[in-house]
Amino acid sequence: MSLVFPPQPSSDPSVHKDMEAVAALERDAQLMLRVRQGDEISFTLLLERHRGPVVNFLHRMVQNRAVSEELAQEVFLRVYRSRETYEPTAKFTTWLFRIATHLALNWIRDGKKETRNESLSEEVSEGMERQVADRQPSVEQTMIYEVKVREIRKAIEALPEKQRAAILMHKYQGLDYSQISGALCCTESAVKSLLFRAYETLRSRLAHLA
Amino acid sequence: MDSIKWHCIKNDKRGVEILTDYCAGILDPAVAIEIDTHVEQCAECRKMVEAQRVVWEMLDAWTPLEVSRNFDARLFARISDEQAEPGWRQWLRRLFVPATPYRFWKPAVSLAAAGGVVALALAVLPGVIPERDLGQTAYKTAYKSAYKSTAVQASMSGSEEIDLEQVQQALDDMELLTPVGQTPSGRL
Repeated sequence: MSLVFPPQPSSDPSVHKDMEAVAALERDAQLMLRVRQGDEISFTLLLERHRGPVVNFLHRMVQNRAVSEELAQEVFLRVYRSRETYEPTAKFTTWLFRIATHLALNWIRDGKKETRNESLSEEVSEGMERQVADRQPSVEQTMIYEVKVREIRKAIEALPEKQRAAILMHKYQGLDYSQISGALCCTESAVKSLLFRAYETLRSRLAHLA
Repeated sequence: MDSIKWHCIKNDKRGVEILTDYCAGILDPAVAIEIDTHVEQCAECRKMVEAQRVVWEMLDAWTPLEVSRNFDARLFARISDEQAEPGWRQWLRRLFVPATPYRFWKPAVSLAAAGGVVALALAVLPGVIPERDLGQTAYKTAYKSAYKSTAVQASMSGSEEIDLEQVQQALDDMELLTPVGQTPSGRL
């Protein structure tokens, strides 16, 4: 069954409000099952909910904005392609981040590393504006923020890929050990070992910033 | 959690996991209180907790970026393009570009391919063995059967001694099986 894209937005504001309420209540797996039955709105809801986390996870993995969005698109494309055979055997987020992780790992290992000269200051200032919403950051705040972000980016980038993926899922996506093990296709004890080593490395690397 | 009271968390196998969750603020409140108490008393754990807090603060500083505004539009365009493709192409893509990337199940494919090669080798092996080897194998088999038959005949005739002439005759018969240019032992 093929869906019509893009879904036509409704002009009725109450419909949007209803959509948000439905999204809050519906589980991801149930939404995906509806996508399997041809419900285009459910796919849009899933996209709305998971677009940001997936893009940011991939961005922190590959540290390239353009590539991260490209990979994120591929993630959702694969989710959509698999709709007819989708079975809720695991949590939807586990499945989603499994796809994202493996695409990121493939990209890293294939060495398709485009220049990482994307403007750090651009990203930093975006993040800074988000942090300080009501007033302009001071020069000192901006410098401190830039240093912190630069250091953490370098520290994360220096981690082995699987440790990197584990720590990003654990810290930023809030996935538990079983979900991370599902995404990385390893045991829970392996995940704990990955996190232990990753955090130990970060502690020693960032100790000078205490 | 009684064990935590009695020895350093840091050296406990689960300890690091507990401390990491403690620093992330996701521990059960009752357990977190126990950790608070221990950390106050244990310099090593306190040092580790402080270091882990720095890590969390640094990680928090890395705020997420806004996704491009045209992200959805580009995705839907790609989906529409794929939907417009012929059905066989879509089917091929689903087959060769699975949801979870190929590398994940590469080891299984490699094993299956190796198994297929072995099966193929076993299937064509008889056609690959040289005649010399076959002749030698046949020679050995014939020798054994000749010796056995001679021994059987000897036992049936009541004689416990094997007639050497009969054995020699059997060996002469077997020489007919030996390829030209080779001794019965297979050497040239």
